Amino acid sequence: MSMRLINPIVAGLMVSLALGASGCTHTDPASVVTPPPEGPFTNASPAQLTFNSGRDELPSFTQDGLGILYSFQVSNRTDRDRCVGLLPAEGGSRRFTLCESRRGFNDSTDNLAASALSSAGALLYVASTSRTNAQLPGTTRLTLSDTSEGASTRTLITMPVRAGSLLVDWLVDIRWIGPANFVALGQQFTVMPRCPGCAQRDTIFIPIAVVRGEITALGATLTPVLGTEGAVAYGLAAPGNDIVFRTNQVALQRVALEGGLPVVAIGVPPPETSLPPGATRMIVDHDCQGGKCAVLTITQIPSLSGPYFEREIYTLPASGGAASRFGFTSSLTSPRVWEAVRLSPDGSRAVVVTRAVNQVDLFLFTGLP
Amino acid sequence: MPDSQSPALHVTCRLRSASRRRLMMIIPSLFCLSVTSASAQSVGTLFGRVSDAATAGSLTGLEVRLDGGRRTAITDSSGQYRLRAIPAGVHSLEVIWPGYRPARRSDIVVRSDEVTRVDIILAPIAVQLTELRAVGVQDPVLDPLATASTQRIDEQDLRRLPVSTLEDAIALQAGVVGDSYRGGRVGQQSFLLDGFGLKNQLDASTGGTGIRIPPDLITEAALITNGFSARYGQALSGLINVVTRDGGERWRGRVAYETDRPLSGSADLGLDRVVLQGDGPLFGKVTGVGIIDLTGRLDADPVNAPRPDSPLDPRSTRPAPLPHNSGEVWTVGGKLTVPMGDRFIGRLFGIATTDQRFLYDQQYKYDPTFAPGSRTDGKLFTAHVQMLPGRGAGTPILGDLRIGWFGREFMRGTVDAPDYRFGGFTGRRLEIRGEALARAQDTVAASGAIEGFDQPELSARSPWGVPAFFLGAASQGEIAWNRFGELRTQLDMTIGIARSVDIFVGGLYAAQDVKTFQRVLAYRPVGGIVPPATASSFSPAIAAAYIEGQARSADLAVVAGVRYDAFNPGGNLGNASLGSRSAINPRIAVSTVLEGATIVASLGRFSQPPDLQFLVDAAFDDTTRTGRFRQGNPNLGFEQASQFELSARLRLRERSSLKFNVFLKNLDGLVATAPIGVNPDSSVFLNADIGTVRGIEVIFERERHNGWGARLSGVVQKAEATVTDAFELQRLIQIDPTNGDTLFPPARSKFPLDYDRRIAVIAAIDGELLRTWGPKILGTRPLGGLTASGVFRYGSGLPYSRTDMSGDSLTVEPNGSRLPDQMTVDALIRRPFRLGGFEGGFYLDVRNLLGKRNEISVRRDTGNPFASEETIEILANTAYLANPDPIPYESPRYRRAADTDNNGLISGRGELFPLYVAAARDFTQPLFVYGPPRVVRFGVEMVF
Repeated sequence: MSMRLINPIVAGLMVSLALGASGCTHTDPASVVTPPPEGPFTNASPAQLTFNSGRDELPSFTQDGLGILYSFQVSNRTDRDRCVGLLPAEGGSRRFTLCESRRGFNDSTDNLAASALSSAGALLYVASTSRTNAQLPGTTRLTLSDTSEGASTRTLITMPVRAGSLLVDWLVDIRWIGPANFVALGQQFTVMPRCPGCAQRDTIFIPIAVVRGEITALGATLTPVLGTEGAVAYGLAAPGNDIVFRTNQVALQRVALEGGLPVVAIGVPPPETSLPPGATRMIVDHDCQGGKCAVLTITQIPSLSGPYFEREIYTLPASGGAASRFGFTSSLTSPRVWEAVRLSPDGSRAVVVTRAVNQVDLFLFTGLP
Repeated sequence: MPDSQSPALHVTCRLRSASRRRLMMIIPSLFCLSVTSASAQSVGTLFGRVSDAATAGSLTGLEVRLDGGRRTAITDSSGQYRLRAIPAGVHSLEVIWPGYRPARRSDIVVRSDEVTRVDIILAPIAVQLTELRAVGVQDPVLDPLATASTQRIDEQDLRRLPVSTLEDAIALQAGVVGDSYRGGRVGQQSFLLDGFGLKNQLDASTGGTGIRIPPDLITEAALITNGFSARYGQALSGLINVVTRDGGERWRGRVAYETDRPLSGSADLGLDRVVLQGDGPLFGKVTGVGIIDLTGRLDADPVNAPRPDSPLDPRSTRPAPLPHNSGEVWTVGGKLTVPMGDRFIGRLFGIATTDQRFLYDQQYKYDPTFAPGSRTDGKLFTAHVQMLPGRGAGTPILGDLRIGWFGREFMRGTVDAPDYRFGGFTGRRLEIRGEALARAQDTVAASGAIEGFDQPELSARSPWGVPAFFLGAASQGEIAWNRFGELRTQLDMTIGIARSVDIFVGGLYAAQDVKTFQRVLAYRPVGGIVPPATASSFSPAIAAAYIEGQARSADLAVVAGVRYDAFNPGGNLGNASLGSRSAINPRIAVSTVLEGATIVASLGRFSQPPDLQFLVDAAFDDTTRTGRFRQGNPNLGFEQASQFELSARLRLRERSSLKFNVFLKNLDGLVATAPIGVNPDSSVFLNADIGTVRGIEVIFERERHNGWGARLSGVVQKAEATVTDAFELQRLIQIDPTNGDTLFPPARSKFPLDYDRRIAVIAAIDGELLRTWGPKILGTRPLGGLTASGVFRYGSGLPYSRTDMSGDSLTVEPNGSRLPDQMTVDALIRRPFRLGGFEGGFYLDVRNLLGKRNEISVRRDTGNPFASEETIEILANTAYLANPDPIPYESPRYRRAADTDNNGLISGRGELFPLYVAAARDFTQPLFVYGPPRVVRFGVEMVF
């Protein structure tokens, strides 16, 4: 081939490339602009976070405190799936949703719950799949998912699984305590008639113990925290992520993360308050973060027209001490009852699970004492 | 011994035309023979006389050399020479003889079907004369032996007119509507590439060959629409004859780049195209041609749709380009020409095209990356050995043996988001999910939910938020794959058996291989609404043999032939009784020359095997009019047509001509769908459709001369059949489900065929300014050498069927309504320049210059592009009733403006329904009902 062939090709290519690369770039197609996410519905406290007609429950703050994970029922799905959502810590549109939309899961009820998001973006959650309308959860898995782009998901544990000598069917309130370590509340479940002689049956969760988990290359292992047997709720308190747990409705106990002999840390707050005659007060739920705990109480107060109930939320030092009330509701004035409370890592916010008839929603309290 | 010693040489074609033309027409009859024989091979003939410039006497025994000696001929005692079977294209001719100045001419154009006369006047050393003189060209307008209605476009046209693909070029011909010829269905045409038959027998009615032949590779493209020669089959409506270039005796080529980058906004459709072409001698007498043609477009299927009214619509600010609508076409081709002695020439040809597309889908408007993609690969490799007549042979024989393999593979389905590297180029092969499964045709593995597919969900990203119409999260789960392969052997012989009688004989055999696989909703297991995966694998074969004779007297020529076509669908097609079927197809044409005009009458019967796709079951996702399922029929026979045509070709002036073609074509046995019983979803393909196409074509041509040429064609035609396409239910015929009998009604009605364009007008004009023309500015003449061309097209509206709002019931007869008329104007301006001793040029190519918004389809229920308010209301209401749940504040679907009571919930019909109405209006927004917008491309080229 002579140079006469090469020269014009080179010349042509140079001209072409010069034109192509001379700053003339193509116009991109009009991009789809998704409507911007909403901010908080209101700045008042408490502020309603969720308005979903299905159940919104099992909230937990992310490890960095910037978001609130929760489990919600998808109302327009016939398979009654529950998904994990991520709300901004101040409220607003869901920023992230995780549902079981994989092939073969459309004819089953898939429940994603008990989620915990680490600062590194690792999402731990429990996923269970059961036949639609089945009474018992089917396959239950503890799953780890990377929420960054190109997310990978792997099953760490398929339950039931042994935690020491205990058999664990279910985990709730998962909390990260290290890059590969977490704590959760282990439970078992069974099915019982909803009432004596009822045809309808209900799933009953039976508390076992707080468990420590370690993620390994092969999955994860669970170890019960000795001293927490029978725990129905727990929180983590500084220093050293001590476990503040509860086995009954009258007191919180504290034990080291490694386990040991628990000690009573907090009684029913506020101990200094005198109750009305005939009234009884119990702890409904609690949570602890760092040096602070939040305790949700219920008080049954007799009256001529029958008893009514007041629900209050207090904060108090994790080591015990004076309690400050920051929330109050009465069945006389509101049909909405409070069922659970979770504190933000810095203790300045709390998410409360509320129920009005069959609607379960989340509310956010800010500016906690 | 020179060819001229053949006794057949002494007969001449005597014409009654004017004497000034007579000189051009007086051609030895064997040349006439060669013309016709050449037509089948895409070749032409050169002849002429060599004389002494001083004495005008004939020079005998001189060697005339073609293309540097690749072909030679010796002048006879009258000084005449002839060179047959010369591939159409530009050639050089030279004569070197002691005592005379060497004479050479390099721009001799040989066209297929034509005889070119070049007389050579050699100057003695003492006489000053520099160049050969081309005296005349056989007038193709009046040539009585040109019985075919041929419309051709050569490489000059391809360069001068605003065309960038072979399809563009063919569309300039009268009677062409898209891929339909003379009103016929798509797929009733066949390709000849350098004489080699090429057809996608699998799904020609819904897909092409997959091969894009770059215009830079084409010497000439011709469309033949009447009773073509008996050697051609597999077509009912048209034959497209493409001649590719051979390598020249010196290196030449073209490098070009075209783009629309300098434009902005919606005018920039993201075009980049690079063409590299070169041809020349390789070693010895072997020559080669090579070409690379790469085209990338960000919007590969642009539409001239209006800007939507809603400011929330992403297209409101930039209507084009559409997202996820890009495409890239890569074509690589090459050809080797290997002379093998004096009598044999070998040619090896190969071309491969990959056409991959990201497909815009309105359902994925707000999540476009989940829309599907497709990829089509076409490959053709041929080997051709041509035997030329021996010198002094008493009976001249030309032979062509061709063996070739053609493969086409199509895949459509789920793709990853495009990763563009340069414009619309991704630079990598498009991967389509499920391809390995499809290739394995594993219907068992495909019965479950398939790995890699997720269920799509109703998108939350639309401005309306509501869960309706728009999809996201995953693709629709389609896997569609098919592969067609064909190994074809083809032998054509031309035998001059007597002075005025020539015989053409030959045949072909093609072994085919078909594989298909289809699965829908791959994210779900088979069952319920999910039909099972379908797959087929079979090996059909076609064979043909023909014999044709041509006899002529002075002004009369008769061409008569018969073609035998056979077709065997092959095995593995279920329990149907299989067997080969055959058809006899006689053809005859008579032509004569009257005063200044040639009259041709032709009558022919044509058969083509049905699309192989109709032999296997078809399942698709469209219940409108057609149902979901068609039972394949391995017993389908040939589709057939009989055509009569009467043509008149007139030479009006020396450079202008007028042609009239009147034709009547009866179609029979076209594939249609007949219901089994009364259930439209239980149906079978049958050879059940009949039709008629009749029309008149008028073509005026002013040959290019004095810098300009023009062509005007007009067509009036009417094309009807009992159904309009193979998938449409042929309700006038029914299969008795109990005994399988075919039940015919007492009478059949006919309806317009889909491409029944009643009136069409195409005008093309091009001109060139002298290089010395125009004012001189800064030492150059900006307008000097400028070439410009324009093409005007007008077509009356194509038919369509009106339905009620449900889309299921026709409100008038099939194809009883008409689309609006269509019109476009295209233009090309080219300005040559010189750079470093090489020729180059800039060009500006504008299609649809006027930006006319042509409606190429409409909604069947409204008869216009837009859905009616009633339809929108119904769509919105249906969607609302399917998802009446409130939208909570925290949901990504929440739209604050719709929450009129500001309670954190969009709930109730009052708040939700307006969103559903807006979504329905958005979803029904017309896009692909409009033709292309104004498309501008700037080009720069270097020619060497």
